Amino acid sequence: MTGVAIVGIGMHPFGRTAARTGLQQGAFAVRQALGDAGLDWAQVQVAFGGSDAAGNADTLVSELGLTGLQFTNVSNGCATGASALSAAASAIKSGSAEIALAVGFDKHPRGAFNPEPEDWGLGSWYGEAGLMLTTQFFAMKIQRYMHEYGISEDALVRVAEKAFRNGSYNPNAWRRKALSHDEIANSPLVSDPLRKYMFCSPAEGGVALVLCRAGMAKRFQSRPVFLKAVEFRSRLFGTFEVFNPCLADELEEPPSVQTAQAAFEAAGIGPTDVNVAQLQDTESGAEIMHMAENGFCEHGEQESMLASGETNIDGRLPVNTDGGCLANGEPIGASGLRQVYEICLQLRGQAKDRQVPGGPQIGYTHVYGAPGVSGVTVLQV
Amino acid sequence: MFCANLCIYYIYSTDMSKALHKQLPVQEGLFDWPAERPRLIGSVCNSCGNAEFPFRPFCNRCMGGRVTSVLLPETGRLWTWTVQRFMPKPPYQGSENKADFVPFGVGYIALGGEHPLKVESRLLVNDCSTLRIGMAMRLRIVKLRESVGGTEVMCFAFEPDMRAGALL
Repeated sequence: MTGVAIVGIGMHPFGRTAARTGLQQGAFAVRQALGDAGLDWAQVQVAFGGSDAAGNADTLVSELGLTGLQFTNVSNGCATGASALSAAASAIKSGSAEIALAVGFDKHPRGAFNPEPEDWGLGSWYGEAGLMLTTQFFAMKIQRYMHEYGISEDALVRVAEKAFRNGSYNPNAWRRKALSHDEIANSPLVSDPLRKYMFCSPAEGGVALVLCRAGMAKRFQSRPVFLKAVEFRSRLFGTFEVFNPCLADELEEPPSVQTAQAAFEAAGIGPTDVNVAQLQDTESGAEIMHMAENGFCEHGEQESMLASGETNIDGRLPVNTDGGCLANGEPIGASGLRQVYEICLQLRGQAKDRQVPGGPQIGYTHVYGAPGVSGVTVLQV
Repeated sequence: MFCANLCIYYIYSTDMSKALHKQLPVQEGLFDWPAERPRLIGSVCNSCGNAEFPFRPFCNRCMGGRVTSVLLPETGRLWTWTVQRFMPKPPYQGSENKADFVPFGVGYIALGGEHPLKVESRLLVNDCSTLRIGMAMRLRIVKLRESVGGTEVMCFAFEPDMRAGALL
């Protein structure tokens, strides 16, 4: 099958940019990605893009040029970027296009999301009763996980501490101030056991990736990053997901587990081959659980790994080197593509102050989102 | 401490006909109400035995279309929990204002019996020092809010089952 390479990457800084709409932040990212690949917009043959709250992605053509290309909008919650990337890669693999774009952008109002029960197949009672909050799900999942596998609150603090430290080295991050262990541990509880600085916030930003047929990658990029696997799965019966009025008696493994296994199989490598990883960290607990769900450790091992700094930038398996969702915030449409952007920088050796030492060759990205979807990529230089 | 924002009705000792206001469930079909011993209403698949709450006309496990309505057990064990510390935005419709909002507990209660499942519910306790995974819990029907005209909107919640020595 035709291989796929990422030859152009672009990112509008995450955070709050009052002067630009979400769509304009998306266009900014596309222009930067095209510039990185030395390509013109007119050369892009097919595009897939998504935004949760900042308008129709295909409206980008009015910012970038009315070239007549096929532009498909995708919408998969937190996995929107992964969906766009997966679709763009499929277009190249199938031979229907040689140059494709994946783009995501967003601009959310401040504060927690307020989804409507009816959009999620639930009765209005669920929202009225005060159960329609993603924060409760994340808190209850990690609460149970801590009980089962002996993870402490200290581990939750360490994840956040690492995120803000890494974010302080990232000029595109929203939160660029390192926070001390005490500042995080003493921040107010939002939903026990999770505290204020352990949650990411809705934000703004845009990311674009230009993909091409692997065989032509060197024409556009001296250091192309090859997409060895891109997998996407929805949930099986019996998983513990957000917005579930009931759970099965016997729980199934979360969708991240099956997605990771499929990605490793497609790439022909295993978790120990990965040099740098981006794991969905909607909150501190998510990163901890996702370390194991993706196969990077056994359940419970996270406690000692975090205590000994194994997931720091200079550790054995650096995780969320750009500060992750915690330091970048979560513009839903762009968040998954930000992970790939960061891995491309790391594999190209261009991550500057936060560069993983030793010339990483293989990177990994993982998103997890409501209502139980996961997207994983394996990337290689 | 016990939450002040969900009013507890001692249904075992109260004559329902003497309620001052008309009481309506937050949604028909979630629990039988009024009833001397209210219970949550779930469905059990006739083919594979999978239990779900609320009632749904087909099974999410085997996708079979024949299910039976069942009254779920009124007691169970706390499987996981959290405390909602900020006042939720709409679609939440409680009775309180931001100024008098009292954090409330939320959890999953593992219900045993013939068709076991875990049900998500508000808890009538919000003190993290008293909530323990595995503690005994029991169902209550409580007032969520008063609608215009004085009708009381009722919802289900769970509280520690003191009779079962929940806090021991």
